[in-house]
Amino acid sequence: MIQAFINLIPITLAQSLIYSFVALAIMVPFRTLSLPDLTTEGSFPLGGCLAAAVLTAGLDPWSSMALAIAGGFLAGISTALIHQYFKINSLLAGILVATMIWSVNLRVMGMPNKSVRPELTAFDAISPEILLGIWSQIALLAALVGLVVLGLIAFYKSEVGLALRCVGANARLSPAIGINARLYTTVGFGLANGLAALGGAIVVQQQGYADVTMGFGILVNGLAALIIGEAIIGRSTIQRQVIAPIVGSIVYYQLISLGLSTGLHPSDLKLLTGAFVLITLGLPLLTKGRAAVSAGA
Amino acid sequence: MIVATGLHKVFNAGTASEKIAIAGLDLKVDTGQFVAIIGGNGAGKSTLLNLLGGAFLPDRGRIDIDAVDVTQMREHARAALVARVFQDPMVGTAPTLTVQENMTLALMRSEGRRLRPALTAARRERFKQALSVLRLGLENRLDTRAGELSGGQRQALSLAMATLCPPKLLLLDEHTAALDPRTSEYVMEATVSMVTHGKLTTMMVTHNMQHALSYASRIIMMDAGRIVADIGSDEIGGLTVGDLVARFRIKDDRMVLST
Repeated sequence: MIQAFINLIPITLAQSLIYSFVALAIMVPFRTLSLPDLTTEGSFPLGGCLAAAVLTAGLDPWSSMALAIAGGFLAGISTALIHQYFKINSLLAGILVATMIWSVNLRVMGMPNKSVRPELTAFDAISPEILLGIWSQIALLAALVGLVVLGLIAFYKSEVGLALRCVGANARLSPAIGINARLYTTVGFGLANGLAALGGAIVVQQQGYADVTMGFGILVNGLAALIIGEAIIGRSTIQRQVIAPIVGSIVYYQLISLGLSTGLHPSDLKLLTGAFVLITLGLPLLTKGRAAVSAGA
Repeated sequence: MIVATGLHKVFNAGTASEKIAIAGLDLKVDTGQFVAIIGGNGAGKSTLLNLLGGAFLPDRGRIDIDAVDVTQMREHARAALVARVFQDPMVGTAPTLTVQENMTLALMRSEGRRLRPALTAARRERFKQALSVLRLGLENRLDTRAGELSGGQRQALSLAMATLCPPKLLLLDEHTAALDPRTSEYVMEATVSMVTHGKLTTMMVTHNMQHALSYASRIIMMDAGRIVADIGSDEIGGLTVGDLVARFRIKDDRMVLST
């Protein structure tokens, strides 16, 4: 059983690097903007289905991925605009958008799932060898994730990024200090869901197919990854906050793989992951006792 | 010069809880004037500050700041002209950001924001200078998160943030009220030194009559959304807190008698 887990380590690692985009996409609204967003559940499959549709229609992989990112960005700003202009709770707005995206995905692909031949993908465009060897995939994905992490850290340290962090840190202060909080929140949601959609577009090219149900449960997985990552790396600095979801994603998917290879039933996973998220979020309140609870209220 | 003409603001209009907060208010404040606004609870002092700062838009009337019509300008746009220190020390700074990051946000209030590094050595020096004036040692704590500072330190920091780039109008909303008496005196003195030094046009809401008398060059008394007394600097000199309270009462009684 353990041998099966060890054999799966590389393939799980490759997968977890792709899913780290989702964990990053959850971190941005949840931590930076202090405004939780569920749109990921829709923007991730939207990116995948869009990419699959345009790749099989003959578009080059780079434009396809740019289109996927644009689709995710649009989904994110839709949620933010619904939340701000219709005064609908951000979580509900995200569920609405994610639900509507499901229909969009079916329209875009014209069928519930679509296979994408390797020669159409970005992997093959770089080198046909890559999809044949798991370690070359890992190297490429790690380089991409590294680039995104460095880019995001540089962004958070820029003037615009600092203003974005201020919106989440003190909602009353930001307009008084000249920050258009609505605009920043909207762009922040767009950015996050563009990242999630990029993850979807990459996973479709790596596994060779897109499926409208590919986003199901992705949010709780990403949240679990984020929480694990923050427990390991912390979030005291910008660097740590941006790296935490990546490390968390890598650790989380290895844990899942370990669980599965030691006899855990795949259909029990969502219950267990959900319970894990609940416990990690709830435990600090329970152990600190009533004082902490009343202070939080 | 700040000019407000015919300002009206009603909350919950048309409902049972309708509240007329500002009822036709006209005001001119000369450049460099330090105006203290006093009055009872619900007199409309904070609403007036919110209207001037752009947190609310007036139902009627017009606001000009140095001949620029800002009446419909939203708060974040108006922040290039108006700076504000809030009553609650928690509101004026971003707790999870460092002192340096908070000061950078204040700098960008007038300079705008671009995709370039926010924290630079040159800015750090500038912040050290600006913070050393406060004599709280904040210039040595640039990398401390604002949330780890005491209430008085945070309020001093938000004062430094508000005055870093001299605003056309500085709004102080009972900014010493949430502090203990000693800290309150300290922050008030720091305020006066910054306002005098920068020759800032300032409007300060306060419940502390002594502060109003000692520091302001003009005292405005508000009641029921209107200005009911306007005391100039020549008159302030001879007044005591007792006089002010007495006069406040008289005005109040007159209001009662006339209606």
